[in-house]
Amino acid sequence: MGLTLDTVTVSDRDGRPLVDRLTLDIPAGGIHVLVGESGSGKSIVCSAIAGTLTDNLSLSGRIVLDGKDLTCLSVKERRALWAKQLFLIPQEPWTSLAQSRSALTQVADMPRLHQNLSRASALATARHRLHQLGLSVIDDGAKWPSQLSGGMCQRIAVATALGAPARLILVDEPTKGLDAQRRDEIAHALRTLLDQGRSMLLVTHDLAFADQFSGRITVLRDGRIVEQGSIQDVLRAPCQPYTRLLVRAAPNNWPRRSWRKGNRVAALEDVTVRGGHRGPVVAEGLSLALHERTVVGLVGPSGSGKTTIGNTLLKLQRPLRGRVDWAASDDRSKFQKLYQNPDAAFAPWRTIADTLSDALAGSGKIKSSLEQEVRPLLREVNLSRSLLQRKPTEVSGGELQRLSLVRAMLCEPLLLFADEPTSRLDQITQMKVMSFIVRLVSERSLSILLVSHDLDLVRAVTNDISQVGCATEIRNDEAGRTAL
Amino acid sequence: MTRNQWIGACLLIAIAFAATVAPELGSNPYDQDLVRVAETPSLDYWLGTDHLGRDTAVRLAMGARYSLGIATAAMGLALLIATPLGVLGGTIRPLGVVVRWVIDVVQSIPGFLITFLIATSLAIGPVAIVVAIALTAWVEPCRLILLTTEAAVRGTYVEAARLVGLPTKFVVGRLVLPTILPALASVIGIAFAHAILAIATLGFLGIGLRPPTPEWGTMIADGMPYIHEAPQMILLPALAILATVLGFLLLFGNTRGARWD
Amino acid sequence: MSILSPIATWLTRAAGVAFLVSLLSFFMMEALPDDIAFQVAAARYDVERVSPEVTESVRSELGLHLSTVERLRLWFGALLNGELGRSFISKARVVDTIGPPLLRTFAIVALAWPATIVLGVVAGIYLGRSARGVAVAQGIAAVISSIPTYVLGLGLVFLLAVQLRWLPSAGYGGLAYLALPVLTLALRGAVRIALITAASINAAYTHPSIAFARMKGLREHQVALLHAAPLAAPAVVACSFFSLASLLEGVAVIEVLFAYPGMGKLLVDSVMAHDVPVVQAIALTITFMVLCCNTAADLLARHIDPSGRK
Repeated sequence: MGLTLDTVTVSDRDGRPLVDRLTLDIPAGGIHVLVGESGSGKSIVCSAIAGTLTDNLSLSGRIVLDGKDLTCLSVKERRALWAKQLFLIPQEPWTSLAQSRSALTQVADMPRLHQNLSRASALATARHRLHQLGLSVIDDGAKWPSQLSGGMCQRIAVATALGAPARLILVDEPTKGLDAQRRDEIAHALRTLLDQGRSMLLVTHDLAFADQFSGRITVLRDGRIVEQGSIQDVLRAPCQPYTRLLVRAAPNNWPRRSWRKGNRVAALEDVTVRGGHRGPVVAEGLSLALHERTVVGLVGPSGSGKTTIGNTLLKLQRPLRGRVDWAASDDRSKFQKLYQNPDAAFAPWRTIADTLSDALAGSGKIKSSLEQEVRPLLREVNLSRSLLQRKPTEVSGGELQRLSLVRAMLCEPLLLFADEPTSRLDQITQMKVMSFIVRLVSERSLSILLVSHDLDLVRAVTNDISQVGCATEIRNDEAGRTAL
Repeated sequence: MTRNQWIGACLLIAIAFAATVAPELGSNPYDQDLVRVAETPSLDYWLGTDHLGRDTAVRLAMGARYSLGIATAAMGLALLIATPLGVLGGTIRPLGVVVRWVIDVVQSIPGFLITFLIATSLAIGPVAIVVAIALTAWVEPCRLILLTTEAAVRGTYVEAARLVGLPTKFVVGRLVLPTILPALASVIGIAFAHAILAIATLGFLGIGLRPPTPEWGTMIADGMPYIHEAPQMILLPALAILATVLGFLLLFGNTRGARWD
Repeated sequence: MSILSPIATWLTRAAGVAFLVSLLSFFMMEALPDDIAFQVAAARYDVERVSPEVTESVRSELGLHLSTVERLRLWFGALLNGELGRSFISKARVVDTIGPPLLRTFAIVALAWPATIVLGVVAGIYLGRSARGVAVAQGIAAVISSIPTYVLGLGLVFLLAVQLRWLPSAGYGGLAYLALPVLTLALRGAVRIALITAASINAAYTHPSIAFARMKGLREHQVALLHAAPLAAPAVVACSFFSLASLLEGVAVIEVLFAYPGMGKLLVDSVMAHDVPVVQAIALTITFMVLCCNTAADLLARHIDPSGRK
């Protein structure tokens, strides 16, 4: 079942193209990967093929599926193709599963509908498929989607697709929101679909994930094709500068650095911490020391208490037992934090300049010296002074996160707690922000506690890594307790 | 401002205008003209007369003054109670637990019951009604202020401000309080609407007023025996209530499917 | 421990509520500017025949000569023993006095509540199919909620009793007399349920699980029943119970309007006559029933809401 896109353009109401003259080809039984950053239009391509574009978008060009031009079909005819000729596995499938029905019955919908099996045989078929994908936990009491982790929900979506007669599978960002370790599992799951001879369009931002397949790849930027070719060729030897930048932005391609360790700045000594006001204990007897010119990494799945541990180090929270030692200084403002959400430190109704001068005031300096203090810092992070007069909503995420960095640096801190500082940013922006943070380590003898769920990112920056919370498979609130 | 909000604003402005200006012009609302009883609108009496020949238009306007006045006083008193409880409850956790419990208990009792019992227990007069309404109207604003304050105090930019070393007073004043205002406007608007309805219902039951005082609910009650001959005696005050309450709901309310009572 | 905690919370809340209502009723006696003994005596006998001696005897009979603290202690003591006392006016036991009216009010509520739900849900499903329908529901709900319930009642009286002469306009004597009160209450409650139903259904259809269900090839009726309905249900169920609570609250004024001898009318009459034990008993009954409604709403909402399921 081959798919051909011929100069497909998707424009919004103002005529701006979100996808600009895209042409690509998926041979029957083959895979084509579409990569790009957010805003490159790659997910829109999936919607365009499936026929689920929102009303404010218009489509031009041809989309030919097995000889039939889909753009000529009516809405009803388009819908009739779903599951029978094509199937879309959506982003973040844990939101697409109904919470009121068990995972098994939802997977069993497919054989019931499309193979006309009885309820019992459909359930048996579904169970078999889930076992094939390594989801035998379904039988052990984890029935409802709310009990399943992101990776499991993704595999349930694949199991659903296995039940569809469709020969073309569209996969939208299958590793989004998942830990990098899940890559292999998901790649394996998708390969079960390919092994059945189906064709696949795989949309992803994760180059390492794309590298797991062999087929064609198209690199998109702002809706336009930057480069096309075979996956391994483009990723190993990219021709275009943008593609090269994209490849370089993957954490495992970052240049390694090392610093000379200095004096101790702060430490947690035999600390027992509980998450939240009455939450479960997230760490017992933990000892962690941070020195000048070091980066300490703290990794673990979300909910494992990494933020709580960092907050304890910053004395934002008191540990149940143990001691927090601030060896280098008593001054509160010497210990700063970078938040996951770039706008976290900025009150939305105040200008950037106001928030920055507050930071100055807090650390005891005069407000009027904002200009002089801020100018060199802005230069370092490559931002223009005109951003200062804007409100947080008028600034992009990457710029805002760099401004958060400026804000933290205004206090001349000794320790920076970077709590998932780049998880909301694009790969290229992520690389830029992390490189600034890392430069501060050597230039200002900073000590950094880097928290992330992305092991690759942390490994690219430091060797000193602590892992919190065992690799849990069941998504629940008892972080770090149950393991599979 | 959406179209609905404009409609609401116009309605309220019209009612407020009638309340302030009209009683001065026109005839005395207490003058009985027993010759021209229960009439439909005419040139002399623009909205007709009631069963004692009193000018309906002027009585409606006086009723507006009464209702708006009492509602405003009641809301003022309610906010006086709600704000400190909410802000302090939001910042000091144990106090917050107590305030929450009190709000829970008071909300479990039907609002009208409380209003009714209090209004009938105090001396007849507007003060009784103001107190009665205030003692039920303080709950929702207080809850909102409490929740907003709590969220703001736990919010990231408050934490970031504290990390930088800024004092608590600054944090609360500049970073917490501004978050309260927008949502508060909506809650107060809806509370106003409920207050007007409560006043009208109490008036209908004859509570809190000395007889000749014109009040919309009382006027409806007066008009009941005349429902055959002069339905306008019921209809006109009802329209006045509708206009006022709808005005508040449209202007301040979030009409998305929020709880109405 | 986990099942005990919510029960304990509920009990403290119920206790607090009972205390507050009882206190309010007591306060009714305390704060009255007129001499309550005189009022009660006047209500029992003719106003003319009330002499200072009669007033005195009534006062000592009601225990009004004791100090406030003393009376508070006796008051709560009686309540804790389950003693509701005797009517000041009729001297009959309070339990006997409120029994029959309670049943009559129950008749109204038992008819009005299902009517509200059926009318509201049906209208809501019909309107919820489009955003325009939701807007219409909002508009109708706004207008109907802006008029006092008794005005709605009077409107129906005008239409059905006066103009069309289909139903009696007031009193009690059979099923026909229930019609207008039930209709009024049902109409008022139904608009709100219709709005919540319409909005919930409309919102449910924008949920990503609907798109995925359709992608799987499920037919539209399967999508509606298996995916959309469970998403919309919690809000509708919760609203239904809240509407029952509102019904109980609003039934008083309606009974006064229609001169229907139910619990609500008795409440109003007793308040006017300062018959405090009866007032307290009715207030406690209504409040307790409303509390149960709200609790049921919370419990059901939490149980039905699929995302909370473990």
